[in-house]
Amino acid sequence: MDKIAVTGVGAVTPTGDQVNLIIEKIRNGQFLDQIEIEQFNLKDYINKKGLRTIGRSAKIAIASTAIALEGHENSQEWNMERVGVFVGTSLSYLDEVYDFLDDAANSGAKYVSPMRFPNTVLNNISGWVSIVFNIQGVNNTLQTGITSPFDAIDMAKTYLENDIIDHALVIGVDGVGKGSSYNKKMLGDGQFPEHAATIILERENEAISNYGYIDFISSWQEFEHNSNISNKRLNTIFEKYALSDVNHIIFGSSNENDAFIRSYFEDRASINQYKLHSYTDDTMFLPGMLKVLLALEQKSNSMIVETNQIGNKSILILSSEGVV
Amino acid sequence: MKRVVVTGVGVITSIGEGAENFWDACLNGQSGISEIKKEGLQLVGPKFGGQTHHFNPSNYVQKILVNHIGRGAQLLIASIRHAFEHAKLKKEEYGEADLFVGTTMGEVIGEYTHSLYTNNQKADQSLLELNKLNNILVYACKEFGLYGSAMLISNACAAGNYATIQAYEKIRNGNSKIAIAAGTDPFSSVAYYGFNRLNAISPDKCRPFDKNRKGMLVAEGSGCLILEEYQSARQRNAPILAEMNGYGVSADAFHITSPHPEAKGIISSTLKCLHNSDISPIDVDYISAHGTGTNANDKAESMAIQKIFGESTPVSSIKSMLGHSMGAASAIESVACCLAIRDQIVPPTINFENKDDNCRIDCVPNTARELNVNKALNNSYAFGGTNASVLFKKAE
Repeated sequence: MDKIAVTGVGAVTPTGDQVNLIIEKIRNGQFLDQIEIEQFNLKDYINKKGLRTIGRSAKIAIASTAIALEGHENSQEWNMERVGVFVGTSLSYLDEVYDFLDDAANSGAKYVSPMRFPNTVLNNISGWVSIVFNIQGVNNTLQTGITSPFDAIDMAKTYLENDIIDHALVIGVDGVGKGSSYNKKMLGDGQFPEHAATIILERENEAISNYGYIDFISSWQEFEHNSNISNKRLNTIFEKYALSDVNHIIFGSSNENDAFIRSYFEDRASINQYKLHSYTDDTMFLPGMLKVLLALEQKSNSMIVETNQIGNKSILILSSEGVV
Repeated sequence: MKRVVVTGVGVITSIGEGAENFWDACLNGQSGISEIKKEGLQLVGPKFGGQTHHFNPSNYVQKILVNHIGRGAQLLIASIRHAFEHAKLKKEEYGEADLFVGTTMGEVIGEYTHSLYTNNQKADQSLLELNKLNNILVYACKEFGLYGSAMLISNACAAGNYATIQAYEKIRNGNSKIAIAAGTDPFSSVAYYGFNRLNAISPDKCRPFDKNRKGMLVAEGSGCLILEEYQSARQRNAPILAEMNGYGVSADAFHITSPHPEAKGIISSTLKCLHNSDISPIDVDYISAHGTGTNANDKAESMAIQKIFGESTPVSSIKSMLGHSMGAASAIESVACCLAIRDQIVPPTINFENKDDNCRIDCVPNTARELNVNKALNNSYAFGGTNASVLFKKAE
């Protein structure tokens, strides 16, 4: 089976839309300085009519995808029936639901704008990306909280490996709006910076140049803390995958799982091979797809472990050693 | 590649709970449409929908959870419980199973928390937690002690089929022995208001493919299929209802709510499904239609069916009985396909009175039909122009 290569990247964040500069700011600890993307204008990224009323998350997803495609060497030649889009998002849907219900309250439910309703449907982001870029292979949206981008990568990899598509646009996106902000504030959850990050995945034989490879991805559930499930799961994973090949670990989700993850990897004999960078040691506020960009930038083999308190766990291993 | 079989199914629908009750009602052409009752909902026109009024979550969900979880998770847990029983799966056998769930609107808790937000009130923490849609998965995992991978696929009204595809690939590629594919959606006020504003809701009945069809009816429900690796299922003497043979997916890239007028995406997903399953159109004995009862969907879908299969392949829409249960719909329709293969009979499209020249298909009008069903195709199409077809066959 061909390896899956990352052949394009793009991102739009409050700290800019150039991937190398975004990574620099993450490393310098400046990424959290701003939460919202100020003066965002979709027309700066794509010249297409009819997008004024679409949701914020769909707009920034389109922008980051436009950047990724623009930097790709041969996307103009793709057979669009063999291209898929895979979106991972979390609470952004609430912004559109609250806007819709505001409108219903103000105008009356009978007269609510028909333009707003499609934005409330959870897959509107992948739908709009598909329409704007004429993607005809498949469009999918995943909603597994902060592990959503990893599920989107996993699903894209499945479609590529089984030869259903040749090219996958995988997007991690979360806009900031009234619904998501209210929920996070009330729950005392931290605020993710608004962001969209897109990676292009292709089978190695289709890739002209690449940023790295998706070597391994897996997810599992641990619905009770300290139930030993994660321990068993990681043991099974590292029976198949040589842990000694990993140079970097990016983990830390500001929850009870962090101590377990740290101790699991510290207990392994090969721990000296890891570099637990200060800027990646507490990554709760660094969205998953930006962690992927950070890992690719390491130019080595990196492992990302992402968890949340309610039970979802994901592990992704990327290799970017020696790639240009 | 491994063979993938369906060993159990479960449903919660407006016409019945559990595979056999649902199937009896389906074959009898029973309607589950009733007057809508929902707290806080303004009736802005049509009064009817497909709610599961008799559903009692306490019959399915453990006490410690039942009052703390959303209706989407309750419906999901109930259909999974039915499916496990149907598949004769014991707790010690399904812990490692992977879970793939499709939904359109999720828990719809945003409808409640929005009014608190508007009134500048604090919301209960546990209510807000339900807005994190992955809780739907987590509660199902807690209820059954599942610790495999779990994905929430929010591909609108095709979500159930996408969940089934993901479960199928997981087993076919040898990464799992058992996978649970499901769809769930509670009755959503936002969907009701939105479809009403798009003039897509019928004032009374859902009449798919009828000349006088007036639209769909919003419903709720859940459907679940247990997919297993064939040899593993044989080893445990599992009942085998059907084998999953292949699938096809496509995107219209045309319009966020309307299908392509020449059914381009629909034709593409169907042809890909036939190709992926290595069969010809003539091999398909029955088609479970998306069949929403809207003018645009039924016209485009009929056009695609005519073009690929001609006019004589039996096609029915069980949405005529259940209403449109959104992300659950295609999972429930896959359940119907598997039971049609098991029992060699196909369900009807009820409320059919007048033929439409734009829908020249055999829609199995009003009465179930006994038939040799060796291969059944289930089509689903959704907002965002995402299309998914799955094919089941009799397991030899």
